[in-house]
Amino acid sequence: MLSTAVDWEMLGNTLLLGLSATLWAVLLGTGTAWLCNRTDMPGARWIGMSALLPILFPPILVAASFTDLCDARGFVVIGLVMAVAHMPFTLALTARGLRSVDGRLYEACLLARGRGAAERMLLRQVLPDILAGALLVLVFVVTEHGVPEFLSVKGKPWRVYSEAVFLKWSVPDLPGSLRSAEATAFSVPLIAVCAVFAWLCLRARRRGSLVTLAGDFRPLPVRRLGRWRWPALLLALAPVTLGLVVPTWRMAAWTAGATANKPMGLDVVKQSFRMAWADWGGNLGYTLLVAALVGLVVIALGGLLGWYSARGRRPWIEGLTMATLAVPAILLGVGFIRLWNRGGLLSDLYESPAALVAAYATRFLPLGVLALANAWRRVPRELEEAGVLTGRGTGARLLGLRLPLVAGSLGSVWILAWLLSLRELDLAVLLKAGNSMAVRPISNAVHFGYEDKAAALSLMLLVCAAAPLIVRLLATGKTGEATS
Amino acid sequence: MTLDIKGLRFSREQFTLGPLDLRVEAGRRTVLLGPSGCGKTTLLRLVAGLERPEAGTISFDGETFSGAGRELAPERRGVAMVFQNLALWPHLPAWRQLAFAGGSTRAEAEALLARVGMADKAERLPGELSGGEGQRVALARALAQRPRLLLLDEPLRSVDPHLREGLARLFVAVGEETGLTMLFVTHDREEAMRLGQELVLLEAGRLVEQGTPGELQERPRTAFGARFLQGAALLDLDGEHAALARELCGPTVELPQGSTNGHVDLLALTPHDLVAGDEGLACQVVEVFRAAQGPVAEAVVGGQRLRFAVGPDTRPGQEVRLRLRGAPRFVRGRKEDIGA
Repeated sequence: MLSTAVDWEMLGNTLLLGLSATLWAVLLGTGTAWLCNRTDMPGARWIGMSALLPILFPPILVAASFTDLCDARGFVVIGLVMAVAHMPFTLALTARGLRSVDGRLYEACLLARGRGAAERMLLRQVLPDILAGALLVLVFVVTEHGVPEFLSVKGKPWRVYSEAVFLKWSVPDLPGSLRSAEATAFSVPLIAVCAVFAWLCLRARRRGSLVTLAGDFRPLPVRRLGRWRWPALLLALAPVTLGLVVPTWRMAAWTAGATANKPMGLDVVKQSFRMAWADWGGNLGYTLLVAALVGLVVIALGGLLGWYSARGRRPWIEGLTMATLAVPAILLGVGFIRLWNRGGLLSDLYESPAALVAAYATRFLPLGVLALANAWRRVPRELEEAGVLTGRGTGARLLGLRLPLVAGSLGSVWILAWLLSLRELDLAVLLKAGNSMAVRPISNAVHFGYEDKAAALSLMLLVCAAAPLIVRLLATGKTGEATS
Repeated sequence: MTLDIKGLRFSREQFTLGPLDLRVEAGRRTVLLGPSGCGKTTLLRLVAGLERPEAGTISFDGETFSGAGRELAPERRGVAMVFQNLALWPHLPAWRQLAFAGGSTRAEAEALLARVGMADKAERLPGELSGGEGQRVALARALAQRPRLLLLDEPLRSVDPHLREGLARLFVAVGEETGLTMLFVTHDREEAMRLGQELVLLEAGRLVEQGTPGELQERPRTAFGARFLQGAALLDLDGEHAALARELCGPTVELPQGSTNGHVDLLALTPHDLVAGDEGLACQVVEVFRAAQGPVAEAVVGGQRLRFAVGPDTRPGQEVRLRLRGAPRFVRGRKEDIGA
C-alpha cells in the first residue's frame, strides 16, 4: 500500500474530493437549513422538506443527469454531484440542531450582547450538528466508488482510492484469497482516514446530543429578511434545483425519448415504462423488499444497541459501530464475499438476499445506532423506570412503553436505511445477490446508453423511495417530523 | 409494613449518602426533608430499587429489599412512585396510564381517576394536562398499582401555588383512606409540615433529625435543624459570641459550656424569640421588611443577622435593644454551622 506515486496521488485525490464535496454540502445544506428554520423566507417549510429529497436519488443518477445537461466532467463536477447527493445529511442535522436550541438562550444573549453575539452563540450551539453532518458527508464521499468511476469514464479522469481498491480485488489472474488480501491491505490508509473522520463525527454528535429539549421549550425567534426575502428564496432553491429538479427533469426527458433518437412524446413515455416494467419490474420488487428488510434489521439492531449505549453507559458501542462506517463499501463487499462465498451451505446463503440484507444493514447500522442512541437519551429515564415499577413484563413494557416512546425515531431510521439501501451501488455491484437490485441496471443503462428505459425505472424507484416519506407526512401532518 | 433501613451507604461521583439508619412506621406519612443535593431523591430511588446501595440493608414488612447479598428487583417490591417530573408516558391517555400500570380495566381506571378528581379528563394525553392535573394522574397511576409503599418525589413542585393546598389535601386524604405507608420527598418546610406525620431531616447525605412536625418545628435539636426549619440565627456560647449571648439572655440564665466530639452548644434565635425594648443587647436596624405576621427588622450582631418583630414606625438605622422573649433554646452543632 502507498508504495507508488500513483497510490499517493489517488489518496490525495480522494481527500481533495472529500473536502471539496463536504464544503459544498455544508454551504448548501447548512445555508438552506438556516434560511428555512431561522428566517421568514417564503415557503421555508416546503423548501426545507424538498431540499432533503435529493437523498431519494442514487448519486449515479445525479451524475448522469449533470453530464447529460451540460457535458460536465472532472474534479469540480464530481465534487458538486457528491455534495448535492449527500447534502441532506448536513441539512437535516443542522435543522435538528437549530430546532433543539431553546429560543430563550438566544434572546438572553441578544439582550445582553446584541445580535452579533447572539448569532455567534447560536452557531456555537449548532456547530456539533453541522460538524457531524459534514463528517458524515466526508465519510460517504471518500468511500464512494460509483460516481467518480462513472464521471471518469464519461469525462476527465479523477481516480480515487476506493476505485483502486476495487481494481486490486478484480485483477483477473490472481486467486481470490490473494486478491482479497491485497484489496484489504490496500484499503488500510482509507480505513484509517475514515476512522479518524468517523471518530470526530461521533464526538461531534455526542456534543450535539447535549442540547436537550426542556418541557417548556421555546423555539428560536424568526429573523425578518425584509427585501432580502426573495433573493434568499433563490439561494435556498439552489440545492432543490440541483438535487431534485435537474435529475427529475432529465429522467422525465429521457423517458420521453430525449436520448433515444426518437420523436419525444407521451407514447414514448408509455413505451419506456412498459419496457422498464417488463425487463426490470422483478428487480424493482426485489429491491423494495431488500430495502424494507434492511430497514427492519437496522431499527431492530440499532434500537437494541442504541439502548445499551444510552442506558447502559456503554458509549463504546457507538464507537464500535462507527468503525464499520469507516470501512468502504467496496471492502465491506469483498469481506462479505470472502466470508460467505466458501461453498456448500454458506454459498447458498451468499447467493440469497440474506447476505445482501446483512451487508447493507452492516453498512447503514452505524447511522441507526447513532440516531437511536440519541433518541433513547432524549427519553427521560424516569419514563422507563415508571414502567419497571408497574411490575409488567419485559415484553409488555417493550411494546406498550419503550417502542412507542421512540416510535418517531424508529420510523425515521427505517426510512433512512430504506432510502440508502435503494441508492447503494457499490455493494450491489460486488455481491451476487446485489446484481438484481434496481440501481444495478440503472447504472449499466446510463453507462451503455439505453437511458429511456433506465429513466423510467429510476422514476418508478423514485416514487417508491418517496412513498414512506409521503405516508409519514400524511400520518403526522408535520413536514419537519416526517423528513428529519 | 414498616420500612427499615440500616447502615445504608451509596456513593456517586462526589456525593455520598449515609451511613444511614431510618425506620418508617407503617401506615404513616413520612417526609424526607432537606436542601437540594442532600440525598433525598437518591434515598427514595434506593428504596424503589432504581439504584443499588453499596452497603446496608433495606427491608419492608420483614422482606429484604436490598442487603445480605440480595437485591430484589424493583418490579417485585410492591412499590409505586410519583416521580418529580411525573414521568407520565406521553403517548397514553390518562385512563390508559392507569390501565397499563395496574393491569386494570377501563372502568377501574376511570373510577380511580374520579377519586382524584380527574373523571372528565380520562381521554387526555399528558401534554394536554396542566401541572396539577398531571400530578393527580400520576398519583392515580401509582395507586392503580395497589402498592404496599408509595413514594412521592417533590409532589407539589410543578404545581401553581394556589393549587397546592388542594393537592396536599388529596395526598393526606388518600393516605388516611388507604392506610398506605407513604414516603414523601421535599425541600420545602411548609410543604413538609403540611404533608407529614413524621419528618426526617437530611443534610449532606446524613440523617440529622427525625420527629413529628411539632417536635421539629418547636424544638429542633441541631444547629442545622434550627437553621433549616426555623430560619434561626446561631450564637456560640464560648467564643466571640459569648458576651452577646450573655447580654441577650441576662445575668441570671446559666449558659452551657464545653464541647463533645467537636460539637458545641449554640443559642438559636428566631424572630419569635427576640423582642425589641428598652433594655438588652444594643444594635442597629439595617433593614425592615414586611412578613406575613407584620413588619420584621434585621440587625447584624457578631456577623449574624438577627430578625425580630417591630412596630410599623421602625426604620433602618434606628438603634434598638434586644432581649429574649422566653427561655433560651440551645442546639448542638459545630462552630462552622454558625456561618453556614
